[in-house]
Amino acid sequence: MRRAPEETPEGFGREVLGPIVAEFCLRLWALTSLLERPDDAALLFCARGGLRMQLAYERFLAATGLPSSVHLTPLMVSRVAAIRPAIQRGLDDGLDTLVPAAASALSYEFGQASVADVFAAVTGVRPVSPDPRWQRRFTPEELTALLRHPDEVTGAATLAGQARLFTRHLHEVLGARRTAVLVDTGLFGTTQDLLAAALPELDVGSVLIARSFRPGGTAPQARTVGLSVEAVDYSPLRPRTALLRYWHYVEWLFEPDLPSVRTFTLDGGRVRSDLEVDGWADRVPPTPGTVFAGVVDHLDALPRGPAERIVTEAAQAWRRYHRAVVWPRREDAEVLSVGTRSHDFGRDVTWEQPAGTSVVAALNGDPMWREGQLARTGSPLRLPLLAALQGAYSARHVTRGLARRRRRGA
Amino acid sequence: MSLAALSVLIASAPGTVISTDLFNTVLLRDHTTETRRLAAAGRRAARRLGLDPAVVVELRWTCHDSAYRAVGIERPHGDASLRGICSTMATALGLDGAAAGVLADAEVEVDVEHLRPNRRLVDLLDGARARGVRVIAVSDTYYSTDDLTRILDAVVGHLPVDAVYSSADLGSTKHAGGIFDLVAAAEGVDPSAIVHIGDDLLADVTRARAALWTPTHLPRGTAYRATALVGRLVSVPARLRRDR
Repeated sequence: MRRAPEETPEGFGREVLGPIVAEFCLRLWALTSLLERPDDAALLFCARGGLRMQLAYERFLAATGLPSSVHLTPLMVSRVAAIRPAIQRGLDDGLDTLVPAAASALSYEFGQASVADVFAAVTGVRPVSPDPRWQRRFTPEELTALLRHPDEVTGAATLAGQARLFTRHLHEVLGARRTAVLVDTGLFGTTQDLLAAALPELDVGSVLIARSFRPGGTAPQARTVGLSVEAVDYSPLRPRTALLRYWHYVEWLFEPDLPSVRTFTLDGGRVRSDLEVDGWADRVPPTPGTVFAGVVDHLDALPRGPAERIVTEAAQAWRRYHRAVVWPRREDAEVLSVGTRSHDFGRDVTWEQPAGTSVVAALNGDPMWREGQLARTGSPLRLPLLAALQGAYSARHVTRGLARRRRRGA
Repeated sequence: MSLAALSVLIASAPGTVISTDLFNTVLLRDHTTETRRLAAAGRRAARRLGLDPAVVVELRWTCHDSAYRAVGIERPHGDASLRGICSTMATALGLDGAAAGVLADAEVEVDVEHLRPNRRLVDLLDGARARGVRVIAVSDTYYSTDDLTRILDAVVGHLPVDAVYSSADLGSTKHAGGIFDLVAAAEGVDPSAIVHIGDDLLADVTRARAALWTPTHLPRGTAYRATALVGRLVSVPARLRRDR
């Protein structure tokens, strides 16, 4: 049986995600064209996802002919790379704890981990001290104390050196410009928070595909924006918030087959990240037949003065994306499959796409995309179960909204 | 402070400069929301340019958000500019500068249709000017000084101020506070000599006082707040379309 265009990965990329990415590119272009000092700003596309976002944006500009005077460049960064200069700033300033952005990020990522584990994640060096104090649950104060401990100079020096190298890399790509606009997939703007805390001499903003709000995070900042979606969570009334129901898919779509940035070295007078393995740039362009190849095809075919077409097609594409993610059929689940995804932040933990086909397995645990798991089972109960999930998400959206309203009123 | 008390204050303090906010102070808005007015202006401009009205409305909202996001990232104490927004829209649509003018003109026209003059305040300002008191307007807005002058002329019937200062032109706002020093310097007067009238407690009172101006709070009444609430309810479908 012949498949509909959007039932192949490349077709889904061209028909559904292409218009969505085109809308993001149009919004990114509009934002940069409304900067007053574009010559003083650079769009820093954050590895890994940003590498393909830059490729997509450049193809969008080439196809549409829209003028842009903002400097575009990749930034070799990850949350673990960005947190080091923020931690180092607190140490240099003589604080007894971490700067708030670093404390908030680590508390969210490592809430249950030990001080020693967090030390190892951010420095890349296991602590040598046998003191049981470091096996206790992580707190910003204890991590600061461990970084200052005389037995841990190796780890502390490694962190300081990596912070210096990353900061040098950032200044190398930024040049003399003062406004650094990070471009990334999403979601909480952690990298912007960290770099703004570490480098107050720069104006650091962040432009994401989707912006959500981390529980217990620092106060929302106007300098981090979600161009396609800005929402606390999924809302049945807003089709585009379906992105938040299956966020791993967006990250997977843009991330090339390259390692996450963890460390930097000096190579011939230039800072080089461990992502930049031999031939790394060749892995950024899309492989034929993939979803991203379809996205790029769509961008290449955009006309000059593209807004009318983009706005029209995006509205329809968001409805189709919402349907595929929230009410998936088995073929949608195949097309939107992502395999294994990494937690990162200096760890080797991953999310797996479960291979099981039972409804019970799909409803248990914390899968990347529960609806897709249900669709893969081929169960005749697919529709009622998806409806029940939709009802549960709707109820959660309402109760969270009411709770936020109560907190604001308190 | 009431308008009568303000009148007495002005009369008793020679050399005073009167500064006034514009929107919801001299120019009173009706119940409509910004979302609805932008949509109306977008539809009007689309008809004139032969474009799909739904596309122009959507693009107007997009560029509005983009403009304020750019401000938030690059110049948090500054403001967006309508002319910049319309120029970006026209370029994105593959149109020229004349089309940007059509988009901006439609916006000014629609806004004028939803404003009426605050006659009592206009009379007070006219009276002060007749006695030789200098009167200026200071507005947090994406309109340029030229646009504001045009709106004032159209709504009030004449220009009730000697000079108009726009945050879009000056790159500094009342909400962030930076505009007050710029205006005082441009007027060549001591900040303490300026009496400022406005409806917004933060921008027109707290920030003005911090800049050593003498603020006078002139909030809209209960009737307006009630009709504005109705307006917001009526605008819910448009708001949902904008957010979806």
